[in-house]
Amino acid sequence: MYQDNFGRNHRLELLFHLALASIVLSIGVMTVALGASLNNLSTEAQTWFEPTQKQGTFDFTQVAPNPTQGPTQIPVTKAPEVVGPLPTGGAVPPTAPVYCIDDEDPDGCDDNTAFHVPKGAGGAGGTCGSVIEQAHKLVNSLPQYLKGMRNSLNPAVSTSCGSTGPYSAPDYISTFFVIDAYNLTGFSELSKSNAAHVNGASLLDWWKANPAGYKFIPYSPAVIEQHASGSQDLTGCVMFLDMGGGKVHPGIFNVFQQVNSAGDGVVSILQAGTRYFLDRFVVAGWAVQNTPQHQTVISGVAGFGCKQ
Amino acid sequence: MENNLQTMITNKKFVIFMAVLSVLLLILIPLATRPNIVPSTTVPQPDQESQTFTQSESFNFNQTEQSPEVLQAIEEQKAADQSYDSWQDGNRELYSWIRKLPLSATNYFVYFDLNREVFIGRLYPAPGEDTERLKSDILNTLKLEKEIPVENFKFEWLVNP
Repeated sequence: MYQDNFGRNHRLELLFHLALASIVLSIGVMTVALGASLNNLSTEAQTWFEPTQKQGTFDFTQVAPNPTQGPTQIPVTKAPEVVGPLPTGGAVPPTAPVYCIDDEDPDGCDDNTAFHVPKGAGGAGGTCGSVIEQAHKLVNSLPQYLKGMRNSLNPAVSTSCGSTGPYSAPDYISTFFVIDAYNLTGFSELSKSNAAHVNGASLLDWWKANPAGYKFIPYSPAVIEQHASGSQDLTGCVMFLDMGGGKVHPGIFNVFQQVNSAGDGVVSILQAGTRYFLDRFVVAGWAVQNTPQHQTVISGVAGFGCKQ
Repeated sequence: MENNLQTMITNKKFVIFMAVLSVLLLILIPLATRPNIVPSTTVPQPDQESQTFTQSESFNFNQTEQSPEVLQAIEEQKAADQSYDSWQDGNRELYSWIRKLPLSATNYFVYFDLNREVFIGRLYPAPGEDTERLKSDILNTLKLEKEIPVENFKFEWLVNP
């Protein structure tokens, strides 16, 4: 009935052509879908075959701290005390175990006469590493420009214990630096939302009250000597500098570079809210010199806030 | 060949097969190209750790949500930090060479006392070492290498046995 004179079945031919058209259409749609799927692949998936590290070169300007460090359990040990002349040298990459502090322009470090201050290690540690380790991470997120205040934080620093969040200038103050270093380590007693912790003088009072798990060590030359001997590790402790008039500036104790057995050397602190992230104080005969108010046993106004 | 093709397309089994294939493709294509409705945040990414923090784990700080007491404490601390920075800046302005110190070696340690404005030289001479020669070497180093105007300041030498 649907056959012509030549015996061709028109209905079947129509079905055949429709099927062919459907197949061609389907293949076209699938090709487009496949292309779209490949386009949506993540960058990592697209560049998995590329090398992930530049070989043989250091790119100082592009090296940025990883703001999302995974949980790292770092063995917290007492850093070996090195006695000898203060090391000097030239610029170093951010990953170096020392900070380069220029002797003329603290920002530049453009010759080989700069002081190389070791990055402190050891001290109090929590579930997410040590306090001093977090302080080094925070330093890497402070402004890296040559001139200006270190009073912003970008990118945010994170550990599995939490994240600091980024800060724009001039909001990143010295007490935030201290609180963040302790919080990142896993010590959550300090808070940036507590006025008694945000104000440096109040923070000093808080520590002086010796809250559970913390201790305050009043300054005396003997404390520096005990640190050098290993009996009282100050690494990661908060060094409070009394400016007088109720103003207190805190920093994180980095390292004591001991020059000789008579107790001469240099103490360094890491800090924010100032022009430089690291300040050095001369120590002579175990006594810290040239602080804003020369700290003595008698005054007892400044000292070290530590974790027990 | 034309006859073979004609024979093939007139074959009912072939036509049914093609029809079924077409219907299957029409059904499967929309399923294959349907967008993934699984939220991407449920897929753990190694570089998204910070996004998985709960509110209690994150100590991020929103200044606009802080109490007046905290805001006041922030301003007070900014002033304290500024005071400290100004003190340090003043030292650098008065004594542009201050960051070149201390000068140290195995047998001496020299620094500048900001409070008394004098150089302190702590000497540790070896047995039989000429102390005056050691002082002279130190002064030359400070003056020639460090370019410090030592002639403008007093020196206190502390010779340790």
